[in-house]
Amino acid sequence: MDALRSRNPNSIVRLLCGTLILAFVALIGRLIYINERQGSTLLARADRQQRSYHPLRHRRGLIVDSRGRMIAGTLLRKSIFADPKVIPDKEEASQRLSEILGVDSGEIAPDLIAADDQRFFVIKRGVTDEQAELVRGTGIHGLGVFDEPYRIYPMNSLAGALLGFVAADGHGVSGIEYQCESWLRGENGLKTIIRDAGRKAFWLADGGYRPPRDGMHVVLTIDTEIQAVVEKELEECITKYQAQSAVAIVMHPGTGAILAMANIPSFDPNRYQDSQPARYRNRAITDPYEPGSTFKPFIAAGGLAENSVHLGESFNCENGTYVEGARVLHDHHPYGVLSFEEVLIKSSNIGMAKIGRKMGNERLYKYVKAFGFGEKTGIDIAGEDPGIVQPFNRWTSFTTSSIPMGQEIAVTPLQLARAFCVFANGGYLVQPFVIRAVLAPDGRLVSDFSNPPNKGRVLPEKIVAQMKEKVLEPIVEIGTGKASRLAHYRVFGKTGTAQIARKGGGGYEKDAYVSSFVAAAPADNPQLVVIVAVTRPKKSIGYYGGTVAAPVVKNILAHSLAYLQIDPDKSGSHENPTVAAAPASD
Amino acid sequence: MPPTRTEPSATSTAISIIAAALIALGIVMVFSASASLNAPPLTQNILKNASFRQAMFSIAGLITLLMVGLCPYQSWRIRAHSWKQPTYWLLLVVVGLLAAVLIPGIGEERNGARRWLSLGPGSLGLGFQPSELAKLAVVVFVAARCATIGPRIQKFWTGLLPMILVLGMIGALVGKEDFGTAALLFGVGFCMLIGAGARLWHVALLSLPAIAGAVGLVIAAPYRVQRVMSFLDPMADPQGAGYHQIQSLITIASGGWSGRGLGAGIQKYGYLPEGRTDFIFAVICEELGIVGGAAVILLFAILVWQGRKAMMRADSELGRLIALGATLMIGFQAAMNVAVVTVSVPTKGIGLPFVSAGGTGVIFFSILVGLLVNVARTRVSDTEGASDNTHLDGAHPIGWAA
Repeated sequence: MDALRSRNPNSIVRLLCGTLILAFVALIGRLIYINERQGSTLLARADRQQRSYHPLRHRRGLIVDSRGRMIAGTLLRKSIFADPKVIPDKEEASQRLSEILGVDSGEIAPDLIAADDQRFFVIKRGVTDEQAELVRGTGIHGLGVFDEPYRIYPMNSLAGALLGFVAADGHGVSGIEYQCESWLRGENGLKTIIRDAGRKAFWLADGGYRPPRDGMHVVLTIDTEIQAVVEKELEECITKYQAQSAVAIVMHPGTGAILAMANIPSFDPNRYQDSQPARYRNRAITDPYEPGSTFKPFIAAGGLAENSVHLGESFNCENGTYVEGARVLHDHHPYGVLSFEEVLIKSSNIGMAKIGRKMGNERLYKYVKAFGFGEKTGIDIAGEDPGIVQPFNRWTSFTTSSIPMGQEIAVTPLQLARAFCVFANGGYLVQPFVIRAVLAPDGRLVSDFSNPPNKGRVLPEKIVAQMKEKVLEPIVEIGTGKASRLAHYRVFGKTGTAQIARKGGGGYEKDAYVSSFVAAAPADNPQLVVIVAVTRPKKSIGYYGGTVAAPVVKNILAHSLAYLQIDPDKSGSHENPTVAAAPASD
Repeated sequence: MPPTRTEPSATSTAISIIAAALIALGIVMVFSASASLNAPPLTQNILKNASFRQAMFSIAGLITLLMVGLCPYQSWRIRAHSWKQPTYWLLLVVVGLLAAVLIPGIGEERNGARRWLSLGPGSLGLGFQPSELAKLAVVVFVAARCATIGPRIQKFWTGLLPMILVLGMIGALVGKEDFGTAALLFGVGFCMLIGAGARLWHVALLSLPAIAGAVGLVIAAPYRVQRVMSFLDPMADPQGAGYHQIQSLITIASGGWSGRGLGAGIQKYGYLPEGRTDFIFAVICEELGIVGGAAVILLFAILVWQGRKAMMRADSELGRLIALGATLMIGFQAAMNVAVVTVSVPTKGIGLPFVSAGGTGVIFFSILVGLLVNVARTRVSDTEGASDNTHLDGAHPIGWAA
């Protein structure tokens, strides 16, 4: 005590002031500590309480046909959402909502209470404008209306299997919607809003506006006018023949562009849940079948090109029954000696088997592959099947007579149509495609796919001309395909009536056929190739390809050629071609 | 009594400038911290607008500072045998007002504490906090009394005890409603007594009942216990007891090193309670960053340093003790406030001197700084010799000066 007393009291003052200044320095240290050591957790807390995040929904791109008609689009619908956390009285809110939406309040209240910790809970999607207005009018804190995009298909089931559909989460699930997902899908934006403690918004956070990027539009080669005609004709056909299903493709032989690709029965992507998933299949590319007689021209042309056979050569068709080793071949009608041309015009299996025999397996195989069978065409849609062509080392002497009449092989309708394009375009194998272009959201062209390179020559021009003139045109004029004759256009094509092979092998189902017809027109400058394949027509009503499928092809061609304003190539007609070509219902 | 003269010194200028800077910062920050989406426009009922009032009181405070700085501090001297005893009158008024404020109907309750006396027409909603006046009273009373009794301060019964009793009474009256301010008054008062030469063990002995009283006050008021608990673990109840502390920390951390920018704070929009009064330092940190917060702390530190200089060269014991009291009162309160805002100590309702909104605080802190400035300006006349450290009343200098 004495020591302290003897000291200058100012030393105590110094001590006090010094301590105080040290305390200030320590407090500055404390500030730095708070920022450096606790800063990130505290800032995260700050963001949690101050910010609210609002997705800005993007619009999925349109799918339009080759003339710009919308096939798939995106609209906004009003939907009701709740922020259950801030609703003062959930029971009352449910009561009011149920009155407005016309549902039992017991349906809303439990969900609303269960969703307590969600900040965004969708109560009802797609309400009317009046209902939305009424919900806004309640003034209940925590209820709101938002615009939600949804996919519509204004043409309903048209080209349904080709288009596919979009699942509830906005992803394309099948068809073009799936194939073009990366183009069609955009990116949602995000708005980050700073709010006061009463949840009032007052400004946008730094960098708090990221605009949505809308999806790109996809332009198809499909022409919905032709597609609609095709689907209508197929509908009528399967009704008339009580068939199970039908498939048709219309394509441009020069480029490989697909103008129509129809599967009947179809499904409506607007209500895809109402259809069996089997209907989602685009059977024109996914379901190979034994082509039967429609396959014959490809082999015959190969024989001509290889000089194994020649025009006018005679073949004995054995009056309809031909025992070839262990195998008995039949024709639908018995024929005696037929010329090469007549074998095809009358579609004699026995004649074809003899042509095959003259060619031999190696040449047969060469042309099967050259026409693109046994492998995917490479069309720009997912799910394509390559068909079935046995590897060459498994080909037998049976194969030599089977392949020329379209057996022991499975092809998709698309492969068949593409192969037939060779006769219509002067000898080239084309690359089929349905996606013509991709456009930016503002309509600018992003990518143009409209001229894919073809895959090389299959037949010399001379052979193509001979096949057209001597074989395929007469089939329509005087042969099995007479039902597809048009008044003003020269049509050439080939019928097919194929038995359906038993699943798992072992022969064919009884009275089960695929009746098909593949054709092109106009003959002097072919613009369209059409294939129609009708599965399981009722035999008692009719089942020959020339009976069931050829009239359908005729109607499709008549309507489409006129619609496309293609010049007639049949002389001797003075009528207005557009009018004259129209009678699809004669 | 030696002749003295007053003239500006480096110290008095520095103190004035720092005080003026802090007052100016207060005007700006109160205006910023008052931002609200629900606030009426400034022009509507401007007399009730907190920012406008703060500006007006701040200007009044600056004028007060200048006037007090020019008036000789010696007028607070206790004179023998005279009715002119401003110190005692002030003490009486303070005790009276402190008692009055506790009486329901006279004292006005705001935010759960009865600390205000209504003043003027009720429409203006003007209030007066006697506890702010008590800070001034404690400084001048202890300084004047110690300067008067001189070495008798070392005598327990006749020297120290009466002063302690006065302090105890004021402390008790304030502490009933305002624990933080009572602790501040006691702390500053005891430090002044020690600085005046009182025996340490006397003060230590007498602080025992004060500590006991403090503990009693804490236990008697449940909210104080809760504050201590929530200080120890704010995260235990982030939406309840710990809310204020967490929000204060969030506000500080939001600023980072350089701050969001003046006016750009977010926490003041309803998240941080008391953002323009007791917790304005957090708003400063959010908007001006660690740099801004540290600058404010440094200003107070420099103020303390300059106050220390002023008391070292004071011309008399009264001046020395007034300078000590004023410096400690400002410094302690600033340190306590920053400690509360940074959650270094439990929450106490105590403002940041000059800066926090509140007219009474600005005015009486200006008076304290004015006294400090005046002490810094007053020199013993050169003709008399600068080292003369005589007591004003002619009593013996204590110990060292014999």
